[in-house]
Amino acid sequence: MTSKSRKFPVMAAALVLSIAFSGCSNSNANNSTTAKEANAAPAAATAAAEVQGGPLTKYDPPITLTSTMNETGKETLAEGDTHANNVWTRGYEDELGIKVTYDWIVADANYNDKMNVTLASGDLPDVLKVNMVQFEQLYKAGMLQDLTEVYDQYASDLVKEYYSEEDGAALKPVTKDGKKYAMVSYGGSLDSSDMVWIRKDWLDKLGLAEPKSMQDIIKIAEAFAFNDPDGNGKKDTYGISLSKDLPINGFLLGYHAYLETWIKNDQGEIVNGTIQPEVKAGLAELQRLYKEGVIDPEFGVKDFAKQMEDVNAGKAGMFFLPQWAPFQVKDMIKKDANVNWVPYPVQSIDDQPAKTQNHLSLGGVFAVRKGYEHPEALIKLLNFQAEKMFGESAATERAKYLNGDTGLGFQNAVVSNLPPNKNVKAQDEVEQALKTGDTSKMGLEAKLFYDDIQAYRGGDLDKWHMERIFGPLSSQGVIKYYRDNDLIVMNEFIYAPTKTMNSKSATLDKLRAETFVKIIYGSLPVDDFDKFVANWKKLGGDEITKEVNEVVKGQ
Amino acid sequence: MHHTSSAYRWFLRFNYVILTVIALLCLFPIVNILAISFSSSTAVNAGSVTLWPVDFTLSSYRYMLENNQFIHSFGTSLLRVVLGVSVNLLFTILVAYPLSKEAATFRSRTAYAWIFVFTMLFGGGLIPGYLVVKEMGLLDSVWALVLPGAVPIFNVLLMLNFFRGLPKELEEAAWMDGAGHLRTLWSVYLPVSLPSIATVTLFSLVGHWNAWFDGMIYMRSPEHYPLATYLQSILQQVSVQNENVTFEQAALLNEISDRTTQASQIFLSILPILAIYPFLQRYFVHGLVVGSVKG
Repeated sequence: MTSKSRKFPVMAAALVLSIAFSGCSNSNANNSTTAKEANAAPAAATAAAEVQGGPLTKYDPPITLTSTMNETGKETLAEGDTHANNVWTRGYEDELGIKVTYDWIVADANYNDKMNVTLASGDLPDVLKVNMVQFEQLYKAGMLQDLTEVYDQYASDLVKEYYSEEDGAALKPVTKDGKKYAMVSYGGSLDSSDMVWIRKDWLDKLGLAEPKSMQDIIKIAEAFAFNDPDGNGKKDTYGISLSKDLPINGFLLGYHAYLETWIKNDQGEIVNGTIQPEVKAGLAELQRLYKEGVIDPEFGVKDFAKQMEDVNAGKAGMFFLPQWAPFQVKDMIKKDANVNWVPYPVQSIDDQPAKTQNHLSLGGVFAVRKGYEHPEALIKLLNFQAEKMFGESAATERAKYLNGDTGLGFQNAVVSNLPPNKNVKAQDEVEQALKTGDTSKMGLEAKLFYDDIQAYRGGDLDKWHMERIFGPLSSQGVIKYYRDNDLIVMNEFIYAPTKTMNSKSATLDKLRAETFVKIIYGSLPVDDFDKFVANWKKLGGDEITKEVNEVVKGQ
Repeated sequence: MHHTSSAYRWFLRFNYVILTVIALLCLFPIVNILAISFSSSTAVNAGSVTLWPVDFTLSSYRYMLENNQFIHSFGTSLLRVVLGVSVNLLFTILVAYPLSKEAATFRSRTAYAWIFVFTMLFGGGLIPGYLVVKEMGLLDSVWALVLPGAVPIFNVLLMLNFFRGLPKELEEAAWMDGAGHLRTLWSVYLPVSLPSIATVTLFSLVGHWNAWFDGMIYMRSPEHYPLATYLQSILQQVSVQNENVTFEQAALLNEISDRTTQASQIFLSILPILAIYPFLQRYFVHGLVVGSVKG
């Protein structure tokens, strides 16, 4: 009996093993083939490395390159294509001699988590598409290739032109001791501008003029709340739509307060806009408006989606969002063509002009694993993408690479970079063309926007948002106004988060959100802002400010 | 007597009302999702859908049935459930049976039991787990979702307690008739353990159906995602609100984050569980109670 029961664990173990192995054998087969390919490649590649090349010279024999992919919707692919095999991957192989394979492909939302696991496991792909935090970790671990030389030698004029925009700000965060350790996807900073969206149809109905000052903005908000702008005889509208995430930048800018932005003060020190006294004045006004009933009384428990539901249901006449806001309200137009959301620049409470606060936003950081034989391949991939979309071959091939159905096929390029601040330039062209009717000088993209706007004007309500983003009266128009009148305050801190930021900023953000909501609700007096500032400094804010000054001045 | 029974009747009525209200509250989110999935997206964006569809349309279901990814993922999830539940059941029973024996019969029993309980309290962590799966060559295969959790310790403990609660005489009678361990387990223990088997089946079934994180970590391409991972990834995509959203991303999100489609996906994905649950539920209550009381 005893002997029998002793055998039992052994049998169980045998079962476990046999099942485990039957599982392995399947995928092992796949693994070994990829391993073989990977081994074979470098040998062939060293021979090819002798061949000097221009920005788009083809590798012969072809080289292999592994990377990772964040999948955006299937809609961005042409019929029958996959993320592993599409117009881009075929183009790389046919025209550049680069065989791109992906170690893994995940949905966009999961990309960061998956990349963290990959980095921790030490199994790096050749081209690393990471965020700033991950870049910093890789750099500190000495796992990145210096790209300075290959960039100088191989980058096409187009790509170099992109990176020279805004005084070359884009590559600053990834440059260490004068050496470039990565390329970035950089859209320019203009699209991050704040603005005020107001329902013009309500303005007209109530006989109000367009806002020229912060006082006007407040008056309009009050009128929207009290004067029944929707004409249903009920007091069921409010002036300002908010959510618990406090999108109040567009409001506070009227008081010259720059929330969450690192600005230079008069002494040349870099300070955080969140704790400056100007914020207090703005909060005091928001508290008063809330008490009056101008602001949605339940904003503190509403997320962004809920907030937009209210706006779409016609309950609010004003909100503060960037240039893409029309996407959020485009369905309203289909229901009621009289609805008319119009963007206005931020307004000032005094005689100083109000400015927008912009920040450099990197869409992604592209680095090369140390030890990869062809670091210049990354530059060539970037050249290729720029060429196909905005270079000479764009005229004939752009539609193919963009996947005509959506125009979003560039998301499937292994690395991509759009011309910085291209949208405001496109708006310029669209506005001219609408005036003159002459479309011959338009860029490819601007022409598409122009066609959409013409379609809207011809009665296609589905395209209304294009009119409000690129038309004469549009969000890009507001951005152009900021640019041409020098009304932009740039965030001075464009680098990876500092040490204390990583550990403390979550606490500080929470402290800010809670305090500000309570102040607006009126459950804390406005003077508690001073207490908040003291706490902010004590809980790591001072330390962060010190680090930020060191980083910015050290560059 | 009459008086007390009328009070009791009132109590019953009151009870029914309360329980009905609670049941309706639990149903509300499901009905809401169903209504959203049958409504036009314009109505949904305006927040005018609660319990009844507005502008009734089947377009979201049509879109989804044409969408290969959903069907693929559904298939992966089904395969995972079938494999996962079978493997879990096999190991639950094979581990619980010997561990339910007394220490006198199975001398190193306590040591084995501790090894199992230890893994319940301390895990290796995400990275070591990932490395093990990777080195075993399981990445991107459905086995990566099944094997790492092959022995569900909690279920083993349930089963083990149930086995212990069975009368010793059953086993002795089987031995008298010449049965060995395997025969005893198969012909005597298992037939009388159905409630508890149904319970652990349901546990591992719901667990496998709902798990999304391992799918995200271990799969190399979205085509191999199980349904829960796929749903999680599209639901995540909805939240756009920061200022770094580019015009292109806004356009993309506008294309893919259609709430009516998401609602229909969510609803279809809970259907199988909704369909199975009522049939297992009677065992479920019974089995849990019996399994947890030490005989």
